[in-house]
Amino acid sequence: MILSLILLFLLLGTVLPWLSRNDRAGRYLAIFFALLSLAASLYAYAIFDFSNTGFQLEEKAEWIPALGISYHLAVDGLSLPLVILTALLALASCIYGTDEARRDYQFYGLLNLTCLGTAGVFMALDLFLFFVFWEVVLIPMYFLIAIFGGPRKTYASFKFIVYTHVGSVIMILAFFVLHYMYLEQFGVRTFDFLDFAKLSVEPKIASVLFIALVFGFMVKIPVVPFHTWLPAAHVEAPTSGSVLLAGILLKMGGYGLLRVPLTFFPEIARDFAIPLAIIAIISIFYGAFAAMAQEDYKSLIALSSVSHMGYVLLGAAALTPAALTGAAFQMFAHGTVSPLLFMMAGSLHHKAGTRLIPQLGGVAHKMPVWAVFMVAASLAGLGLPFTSSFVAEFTVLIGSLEAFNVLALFVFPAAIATAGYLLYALRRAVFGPFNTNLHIHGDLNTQEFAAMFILLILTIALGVYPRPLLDMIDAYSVYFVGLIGGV
Amino acid sequence: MIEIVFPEAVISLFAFLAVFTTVFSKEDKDMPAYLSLAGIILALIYLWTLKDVSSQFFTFVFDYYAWVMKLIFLSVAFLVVLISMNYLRDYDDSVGEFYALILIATVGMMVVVSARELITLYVAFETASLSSYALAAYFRKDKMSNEAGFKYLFFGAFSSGLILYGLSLIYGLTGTTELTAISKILSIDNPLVFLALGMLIAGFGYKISAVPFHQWTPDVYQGAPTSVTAFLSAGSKAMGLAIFIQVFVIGLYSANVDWKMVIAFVAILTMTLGNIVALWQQNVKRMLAYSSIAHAGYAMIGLAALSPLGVAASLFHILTHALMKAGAFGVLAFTAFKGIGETVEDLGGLWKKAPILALAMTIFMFSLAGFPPLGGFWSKYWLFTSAVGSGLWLLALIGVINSVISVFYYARVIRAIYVIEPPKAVRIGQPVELTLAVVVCLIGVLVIGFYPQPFIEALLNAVNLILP
Repeated sequence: MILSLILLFLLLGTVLPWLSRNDRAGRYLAIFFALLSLAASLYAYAIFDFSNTGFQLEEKAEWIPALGISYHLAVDGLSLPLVILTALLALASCIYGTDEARRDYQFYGLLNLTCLGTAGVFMALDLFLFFVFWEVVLIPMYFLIAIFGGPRKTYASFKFIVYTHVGSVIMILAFFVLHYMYLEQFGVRTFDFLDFAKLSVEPKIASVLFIALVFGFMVKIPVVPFHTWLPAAHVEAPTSGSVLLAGILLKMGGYGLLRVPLTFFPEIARDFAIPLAIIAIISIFYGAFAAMAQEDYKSLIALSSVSHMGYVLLGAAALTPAALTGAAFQMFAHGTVSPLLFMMAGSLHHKAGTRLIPQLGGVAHKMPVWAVFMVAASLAGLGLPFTSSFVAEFTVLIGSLEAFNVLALFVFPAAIATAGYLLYALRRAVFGPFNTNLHIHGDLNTQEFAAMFILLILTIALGVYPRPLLDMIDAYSVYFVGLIGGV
Repeated sequence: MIEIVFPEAVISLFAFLAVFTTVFSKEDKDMPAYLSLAGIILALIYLWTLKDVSSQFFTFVFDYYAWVMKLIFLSVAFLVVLISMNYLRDYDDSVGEFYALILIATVGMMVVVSARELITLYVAFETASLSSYALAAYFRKDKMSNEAGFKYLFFGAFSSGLILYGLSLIYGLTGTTELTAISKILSIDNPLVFLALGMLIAGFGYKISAVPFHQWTPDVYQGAPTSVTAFLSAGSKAMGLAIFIQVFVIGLYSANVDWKMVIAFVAILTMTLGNIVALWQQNVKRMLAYSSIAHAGYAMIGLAALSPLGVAASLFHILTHALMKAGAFGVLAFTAFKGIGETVEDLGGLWKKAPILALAMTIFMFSLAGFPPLGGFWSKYWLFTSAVGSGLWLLALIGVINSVISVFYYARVIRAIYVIEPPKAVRIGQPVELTLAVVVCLIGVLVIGFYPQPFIEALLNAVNLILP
């Protein structure tokens, strides 16, 4: 029941603020229920059995038996960390709050609704339910961008909804085919993940399905060349919207990729390993170099997401235990670092009135606390040891060296580029002489500080001592690679 | 035996009473409405007790299929009367006839689904159609309403002629008017069969606004009083599809005639044209008219699939479409009646002016666009699956592409409602009866969305019963 409880708390955190129709009450209700859902997800972590490699905390109930659809939830070492991350970011984004006081109670409800959909995606074992949650995420995020976004919000929200909707339609078509193949082979209607894993599919059809599913998820990750919705959506979204977008919405793509096509068609995945790895490396490079050219801090961070999420695809393509562990760990690590960076950019915009790097300069003189967080977050972003991104990216590299040998070495220059754009931006914006044209109104306020503090502590803690998370993910990836017959 | 016609009898009686009140007072606008509501509720209660009855009274057949469809028609009539009440209070002439016409049209629809014989079917069909022509033109002093009524009558009469011609050809070929008997006798040996089928497809195609027989739809939907538009979109269209199912699926099911491909072709044309033209509409009423055309195309997918699953999916679509469109036109009736207007921009900031109706409209739009888990999603999903199940891959794929296209124009309405913030938006009182009707539709869409199982079962039962 604990998984449903997490969803229930997020649902209450959505509906009650809306019903309260009061900005202050809405904020407290949203924070309260996000906190409860985080507590519930930590309880799930506490009762999680590390020695059991399969799905746990399972809940199953019939939903629409006539169409073979059930309400089936469960978690394993891959999904539970992401569920915890979702609840954590629900709390952090609610604490961080809005960019401007306007329709606040609606805003907080939308934040929790986004998290509800995302948590559902990570838990659902019935692929139809998975799809339903997947679509549920789309709606609140659309409103977050379209109502609370920046000047080009109409364009950005529209692009977001079209790109992701096309991706999900292709995904549901692939589920459809699986459904019918199962009906033919076993005579039963089902959408259950565990049932589909039993299917025997002809290699030709399997490749088509694999490509369709991978395409659907790659749009969401996103990888080059399907990434163009991301900078637009990120730059226009309100800060808390960007936090969720970078923190968990991108993870839906990575999770889906690992969970669905890789599990169903591992042989095909091995055939496509080199093309996927090349796409991943292109994404890593493209993201890093495009970020270097950005003037807006927010679009710099957005493009760095493309680069960082490339590691997830690289790990998935390598299909070795270490690479998979690294990919899953990278999702969590990027899920804390990137939201932190977006909060920094958001606060900068509140206080200085601009995010354009050339217009900034010497911000550290007027916002010392902000500057400390910014430097720490940037260092975490470039993968310095003792931060969680280091653990993640290092593990992915080790794992993919095993699989790809020389090809994986191409990634190293990108790591240097990453350091380059983050430090270069720091030098121009944060340090140096103070730009006297700037008018800065104070430093971080309490709510911003609290939200950032939670994320930063977690990033450093997992960098120093990654075992609590690593053990859980490791159990999954070792078991998974064993299941699909080794490297 | 005779008790199976009581629901129709009750509605007819109350239709008479509704007109009769105007003899005493033309000023009392509520009395005929309350009488109509009372009549519908009585009929609903009585109908509920007939759930498991299967019986016949002359050519009037009552079975589970008829029961399900009558429930839908009565519910639609109930909602339309509720929506009309606020709207008609300001009308400067008597309104008793309006409610009476709605009730009479409903009786026609209810008899249609009990008809398994061509003459009964035709008479009932015309009863419903003639009443709706008059309803479309009810606002006598409004040019648009007059135009709508005239166009509807003109096209309707033409299609009636086609239908009658087609039916007479079938009678001539088989010597019977019983649908089940026809299905046994009719075969493709005679080329006249194709002529008859063509006439019937064209004639009924007009009624459900299938392309290329759809031209009347946008003008009539836009010009008619909005509550009448709700009735046409939710009720008349459902009747058209029901007739389609009865004549084609019951009458011509086993006949060795391959009309499936024709229907599939018309379905593709209908949904594609409806969705693409809707993209350019500024007037929401007109946009929803094109969306109605598109949805007729979706519903025809199930008929082309011609499996029990497919036909049941079409019926399911009738149900969800009726709820979504009755609700959506209900909201537009509110905006028209309060002078807000009916273009996309006019709906701007509706969330501030009328929060409940704005939320309901948003959910109807999402449901029409096919977002899960709402009622409209399941009907589309089920229709597409049934097409795949019958091997019509291409049809399902085109349906899916259409569904994606439709997101564009529904999203425009949603964007206007929630995103735009007009500077001087003030709360407008949301009239009780209309809001009640819209909320009932909303609950229906949500209940079907989250728990479609009982509805799916009921409709599958109904279809298994009528399919030979």
